Amino acid sequence: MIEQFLLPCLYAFLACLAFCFVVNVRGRMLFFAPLGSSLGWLVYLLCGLLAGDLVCYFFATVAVSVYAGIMARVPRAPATGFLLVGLFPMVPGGGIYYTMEYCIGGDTGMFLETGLHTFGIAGCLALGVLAVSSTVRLYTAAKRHLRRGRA
Amino acid sequence: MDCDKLLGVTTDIAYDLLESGAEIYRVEESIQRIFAAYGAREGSIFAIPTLLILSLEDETGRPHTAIRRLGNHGSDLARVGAYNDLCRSICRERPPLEEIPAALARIGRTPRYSPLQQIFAGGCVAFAFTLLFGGGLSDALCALICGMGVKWVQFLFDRLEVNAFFSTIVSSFAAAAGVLVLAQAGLLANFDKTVIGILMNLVPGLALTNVMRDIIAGDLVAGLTKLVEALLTATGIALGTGVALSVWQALMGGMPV
Repeated sequence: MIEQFLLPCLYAFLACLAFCFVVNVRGRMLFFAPLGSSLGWLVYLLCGLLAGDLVCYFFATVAVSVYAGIMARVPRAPATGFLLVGLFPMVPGGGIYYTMEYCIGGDTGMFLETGLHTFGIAGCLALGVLAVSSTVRLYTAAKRHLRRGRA
Repeated sequence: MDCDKLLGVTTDIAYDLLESGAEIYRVEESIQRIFAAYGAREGSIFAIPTLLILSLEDETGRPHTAIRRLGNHGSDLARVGAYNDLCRSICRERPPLEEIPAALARIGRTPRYSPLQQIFAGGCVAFAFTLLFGGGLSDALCALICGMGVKWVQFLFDRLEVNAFFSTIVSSFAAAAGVLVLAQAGLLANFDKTVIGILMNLVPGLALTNVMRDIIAGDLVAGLTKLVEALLTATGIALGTGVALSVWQALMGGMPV
């Protein structure tokens, strides 16, 4: 249990905390932004029990985006920061590396497969962000519309 | 209302926002709000990651336009937040335009973490990601050292104003080469996990997360520019590590682990 879930989330937190120093995050954000990445990684791991990894990436991104959306309202900080730091562990660095390795090894089949999979991961991240921020936009637009209708 | 003064001030704000790594729609919306707050007629702004165009009409209907080019832009989230707050307070309180440059300069002077701190942070990123991706403690310690090396190379190239693509290639070459040497010395258990941990310092995180947000907001050109940036960076990483691995294999006749 600890090995499987708690430690990876702790590692994700530490990695993103260090990353915060690179992109100049300060103050309270130094705690809350990496927390988003642990949350995302936890969702990723939990989804992994049920589904394939592309689905996991999607739901983890959705979780991070929702978290970023909430945090952008509550302590008044732009959502970009939370998204950037929170999604950071899911950026497919491994995919890029293994694609390259198969390319050098001359294994064209695996090269294409891994390359496409890497694209798939990036696409899932994009799709997750898309789903949440479109829903938020729709919600705010609908609320404004309703208010205007009543007035 | 002094049209030229408003145009000058808003161009500065937009430039600073964009340079700190704000999304395109945030830049455009902030400026539109400021135009509206000061009662500008027909104010428009167009922004893509490398260019800003602002235009205003004065009382006689004559258009005034400012264009500004941007070079490299980093990501500085503290400043994005600060400029964003400044824009909100400008819209709310409408201070005299003369006061705004001083406020911008004040934000511009806020401290960044020192290069040494950032280099150490780069090492810690590599350390923690190696552990996260399943490497052991010895792998992570090697990643810490090489991660700091990679960050240092990046800083050096930034200072020499080398273009980002070439800097990525050389940095990832250095990452792979460093790990190869440590692996040859027998310090590593998982070669691939270590390299990936270090490469996380170079992956196009900001570009990738902002691509979709720009495209949803309808800024297709900006989205495409960032997509190309992300693809180029990924290619650069693959090229750099690839060259290091192939050269090593050719010279030593095989991988060290």
